[in-house]
Amino acid sequence: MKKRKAILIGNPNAGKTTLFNALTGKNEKVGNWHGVTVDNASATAKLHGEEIEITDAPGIYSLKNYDAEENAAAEALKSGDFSVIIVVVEAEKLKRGLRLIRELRAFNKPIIVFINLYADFLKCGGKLDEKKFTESLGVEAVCGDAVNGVAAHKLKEKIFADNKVLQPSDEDFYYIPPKRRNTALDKIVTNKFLALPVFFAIMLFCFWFAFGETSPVSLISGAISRLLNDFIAKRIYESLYLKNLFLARVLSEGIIGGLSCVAEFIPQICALSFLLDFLDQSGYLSRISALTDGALKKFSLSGKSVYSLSCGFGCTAVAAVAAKGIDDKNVKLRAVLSMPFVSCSARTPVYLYVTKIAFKKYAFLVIGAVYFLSLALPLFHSLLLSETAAKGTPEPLVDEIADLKIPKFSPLIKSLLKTFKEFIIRLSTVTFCVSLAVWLGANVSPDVKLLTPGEIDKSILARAGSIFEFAFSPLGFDWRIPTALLTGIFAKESVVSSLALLFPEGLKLCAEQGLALVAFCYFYTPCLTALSAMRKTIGFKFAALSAVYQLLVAFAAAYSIFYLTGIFL
Amino acid sequence: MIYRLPENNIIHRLSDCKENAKFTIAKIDLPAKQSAKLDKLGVFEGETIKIEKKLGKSALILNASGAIIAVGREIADKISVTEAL
Repeated sequence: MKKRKAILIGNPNAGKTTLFNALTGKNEKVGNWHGVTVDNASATAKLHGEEIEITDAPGIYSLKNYDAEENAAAEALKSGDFSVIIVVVEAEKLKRGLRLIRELRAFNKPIIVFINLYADFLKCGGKLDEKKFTESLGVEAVCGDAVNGVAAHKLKEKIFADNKVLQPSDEDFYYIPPKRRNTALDKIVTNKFLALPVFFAIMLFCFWFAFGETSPVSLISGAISRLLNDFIAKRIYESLYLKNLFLARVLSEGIIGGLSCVAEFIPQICALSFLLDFLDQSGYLSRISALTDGALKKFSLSGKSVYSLSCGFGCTAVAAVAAKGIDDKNVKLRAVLSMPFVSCSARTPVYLYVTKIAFKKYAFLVIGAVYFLSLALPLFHSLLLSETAAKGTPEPLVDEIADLKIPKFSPLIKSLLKTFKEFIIRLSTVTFCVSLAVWLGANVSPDVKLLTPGEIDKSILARAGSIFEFAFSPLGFDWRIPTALLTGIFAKESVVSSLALLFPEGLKLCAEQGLALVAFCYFYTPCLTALSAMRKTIGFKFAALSAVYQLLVAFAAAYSIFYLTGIFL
Repeated sequence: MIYRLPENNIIHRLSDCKENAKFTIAKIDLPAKQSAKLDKLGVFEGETIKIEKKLGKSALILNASGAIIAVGREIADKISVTEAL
């Protein structure tokens, strides 16, 4: 028997993905932002042994004159054989949602309207005659909150019922909109004098909390490192080295040693991801979009680029996907091509590792400088692009912004778990394979003999890495640095594990080399996942161009910094 | 720019209007693409909107049908409004 299908449709930011996750048990990315869902997602909802496939479509305001962003939803509606259409509307914005509901009647399918955020609506003085509403529009209705399991279950029962197309009476119904709460907090974050200092203070707190030496998150990171290196790796080596030296070294140095260099950053990556999600879902980022639009126009970007560029601090791939929501194609191109100048969190372990060696207690100043550049350089790069490769004036701002509120805890935790899971998957696949391959390459000779730690120069990796050595030797680096950097093409975190494996005696760097290496890591080609996401958003030509361009910029920056600091230091 | 209507109701540019007041949109003089976008968001001729906040010289925050909409100053300059009754 053919599986029945249902589709979730509604205005952007109405809560469709939250409801989709509640109905299907999935964990798709949600956000308090227009354009979080940019492609259709499908999953199965189950009830009493029966299954229905539910499609979560991107936001759409109207089926008439829809733009490129709304196209995916309109096409899904037209092409899919849906047995029921679920329209998600925010209770407070019901009046605007009526247009879409009326347009959807043309499909001659049963319609269920989920009136979201209903408790808040009632609390703020809103009133709705539900019975008259359903009769007037010829729909079924469920009122509730998308994050509330009870409301989702009630909706699920309606979806699985034998729904029929109802005839609308088109009579007026009783609806009183709620009074909007213009909170003191809202006034502060949009105040013309306070807005920017507050934004910088919030971002500074986020980065201190995730990466500050004395922050609780850094203490947890330290504990993880000690547990893996001083306890697990040591135990494995001690218990195996007499029986099988090769196995003892592969496990303790190659696998645990390599993985621990990256695993200790899990708490920091999760903390940063949680805080950015909190800001996003609180509605703060959408205010920042409106607030910064005027200033960003001076750099040929728009307020809508703020979210995708902010995501770049977490992951360039996520940022490139988020940029799909920017409807101005010139701004989108400039934003994506400027993203590699926003330092992603996967590069942070590399900075931490290198700066701790080269700058010791002043490491935070270098990392602070990288983050400052991450704020400034994308803007100037965009300006440069607007005069060269991606010309065009940004379109004027017209956008919906989310209400400022304390986010619900459950979607934040789900998102955090997703970040954690993705990091663990990368750790157990890409980093695991790269660590093992690098260790084997560094400890096995071309005639397949196990080398002692002092014989690394005779290894397979030494032979392969020496091909690229010429480009780095003026900076005082041997074959091991380009080899480690090459592994960063698969995942930037891998650079740290590779450095740890290739320098068993410990990496030694002077200040000039430390700065040059940090600069190279900051600028050089994004990882393959990020390049793939960039290709999907701006096309193969520009993604490939960006890969080559970033590599050239990285060499130029590393050489300039090395020689200039050599003059002054 | 100020026009005077026959019934003595004054038309203002939205960008010149003060915060926390309600206005009825009299005319939107923008290219079709931008007008269509405003229309989808609930900002169209005849609709009553409220200026929630003016963000310096760059943007205005409007309340239209319960939705909070941010419009750039260059858009607000092209929207003519009358004070809502």
